[in-house]
Amino acid sequence: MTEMNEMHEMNDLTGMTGMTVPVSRAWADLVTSTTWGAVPPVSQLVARRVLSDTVGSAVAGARSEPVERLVQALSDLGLAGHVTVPGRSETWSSSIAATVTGAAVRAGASAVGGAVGGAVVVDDPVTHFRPAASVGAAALAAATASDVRLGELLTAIVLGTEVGCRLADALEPGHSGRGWDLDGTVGHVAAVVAAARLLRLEPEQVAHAVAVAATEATGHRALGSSPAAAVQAGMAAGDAVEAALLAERGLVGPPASIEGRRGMLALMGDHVDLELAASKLREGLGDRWVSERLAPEPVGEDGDAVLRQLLAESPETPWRSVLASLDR
Amino acid sequence: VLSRSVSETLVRRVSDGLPDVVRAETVRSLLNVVGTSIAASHSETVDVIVGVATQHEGTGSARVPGRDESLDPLNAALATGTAAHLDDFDDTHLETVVHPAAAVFAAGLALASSYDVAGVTFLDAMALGMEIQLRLALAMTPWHYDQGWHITGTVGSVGAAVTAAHLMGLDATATSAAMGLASSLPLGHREGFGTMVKPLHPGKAAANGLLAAALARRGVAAAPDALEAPNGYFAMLSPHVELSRVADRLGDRWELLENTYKPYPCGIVSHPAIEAAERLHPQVAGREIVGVTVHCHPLVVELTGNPTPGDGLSARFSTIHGVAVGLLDGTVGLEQYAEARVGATDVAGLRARVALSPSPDIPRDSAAVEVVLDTGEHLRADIDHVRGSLARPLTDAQLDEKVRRLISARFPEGAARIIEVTRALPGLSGLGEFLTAIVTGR
Repeated sequence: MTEMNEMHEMNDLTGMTGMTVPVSRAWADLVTSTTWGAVPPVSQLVARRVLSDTVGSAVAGARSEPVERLVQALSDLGLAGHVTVPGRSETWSSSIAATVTGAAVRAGASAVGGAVGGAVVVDDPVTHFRPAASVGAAALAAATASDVRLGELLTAIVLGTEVGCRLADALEPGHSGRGWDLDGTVGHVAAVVAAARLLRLEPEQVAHAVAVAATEATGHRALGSSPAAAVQAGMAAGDAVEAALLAERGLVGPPASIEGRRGMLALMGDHVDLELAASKLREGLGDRWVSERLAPEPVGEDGDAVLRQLLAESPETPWRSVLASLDR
Repeated sequence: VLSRSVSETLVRRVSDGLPDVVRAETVRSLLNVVGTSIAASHSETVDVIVGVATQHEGTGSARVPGRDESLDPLNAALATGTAAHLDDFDDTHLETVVHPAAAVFAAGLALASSYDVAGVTFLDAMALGMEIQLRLALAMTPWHYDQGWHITGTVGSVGAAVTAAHLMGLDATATSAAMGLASSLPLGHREGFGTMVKPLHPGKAAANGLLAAALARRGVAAAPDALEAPNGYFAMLSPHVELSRVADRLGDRWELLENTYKPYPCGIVSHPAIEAAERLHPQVAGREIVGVTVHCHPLVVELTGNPTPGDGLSARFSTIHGVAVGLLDGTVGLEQYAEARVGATDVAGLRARVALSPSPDIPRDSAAVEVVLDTGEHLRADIDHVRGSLARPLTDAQLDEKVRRLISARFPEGAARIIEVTRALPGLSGLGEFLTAIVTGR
């Protein structure tokens, strides 16, 4: 009987809720139209904090056991490239660099449980989604591969963070309650938004990249702080970069990848009201930044050496020279 | 501890040698998936994947059937697994709707250039990976798929991990870790059906399983109860689970023996009517047809009732198209679902003269087709059990013929060689000849 259902589904290719624009398409418009100058100051601070967490934690975790084993496994498979990751000498393709960086971010934070080497761990106070491991790692790898300005990297990060917070809100609490790991699952979709921005995808391509990341979203909370948990967080970042590259080259996915009857919310949430959730995921994009809640209270009071330097840098500075100065 | 006991049983069973009948069926599954992979090797979707890999530092020494490029193993697994499932013409386990060969073949082949194992080891690795997929799938069927998961992707990562672990020579402990790690990386939503994302699922599952095995080889552990824990694999993926089906007589009873091979590249409910139409083709002998009646199960109307398909994908959901083109061409393969044939005037003209006549008394694997010629002559063919059904599996000769046609689109001269080497694989001491044949057609 299930073979029958498989075919029945394929006859009904739309699966869309109503006549409104698909969520992925609304996000695509946000991704392609947002400028750094249009991002409110509090959200700009959030972007800098996430980048600071990414760089600081990636360096802190670079020599951790999970990363050592991941690097061994990837080297065993013969993987290589030219993209660097913080705190290590090996170089990779951009997608694998994102995987290694994301694993290091997760391992770096869990190693010391909070502040890492002076860096502040930035997670969502509501859902505990941590953008650095996925969004930050994907953005870092994509930016390192393509040489963009700091402002562009920060824009990509704030866009991914915003989508991640909204998606986590839509899925929780039933999602992690069932065992899914937000950094791995939501991380896939949030990170693909950042990667798509840095690769300057067309709006249609952004939506397809979101579809690929959504169907690949995965990760298991039961792994806790084991090496495997770090790897699956990293895979969100790596798969996201890969998904954006596939969409750039012409891969096409379904329009309702997020809110469709057989899409991410329906399968990975716990009885989510799809229409209501979809409207919240689209509502006020670009005007209202849900991710503002990742700023510290009161705004601007915390910070570390990396963050202070990022706060001082002009958004016009090339990312690679910022990175070189951070490395000192 | 389910993953531990399962991997111990599998590792022990394979060291004793798998039963001949299991190896024989695995060869059939392999042959079929070699055919589908080669046929789709230059499809747009596979071009995209290979293009990204070659443009963005994803090259290496792993090969993809029918392709010139050498990719890194993760990209090769992604490309091969996607090609294997692309036309939905790969093997099908009917009870669970899993297509079990795609992900395990892709993961295994991606390792073939670095682990030159004996042919029989490659086959055994595939058999173990297929069997574990089907066991996991049985425990969640039908609830998991009905919810909207693409089961081929969600069980595929674990199957691919087991296949890769065997090729890497991992022991039961590491194999169990590989399974546990892969079980945290299931993927695939049915929302993507009808798009390029659907075949991507077994491809990505293969890559995830391969990485899980590589990590396990380097000592990364997984939660021992990753499968059955309260917030583990099954709890996340299915509202109901029959856990006992995973290990029930594992190693003695082989679910992979129930694997089937589609004779036609379209929805299974159409198959009996298409076989009847093919059978009538020589009797029609080019004469003018004025009317066609298809006596079929009511699901044919419900699921594949489209009378006027506009493209290759919608034609796969049109029994009427399959019958028309079967009567005209005498054979129904990928070519009959290409845009050129779907849009041809003779096909469209005959489609307009085909009517479905459903009856609940007709079994799902049966159909009859009646043709009225302009001479007034009546022709009729009855199919009791369609080719490719469990009651009437494809014979080796029929499977070879299917695979020959799949391969010929890519390698007009290479099919015989590829089929010969694939069938000879159990006796080969290494994978070199097999790999060369399926990559180059020679």
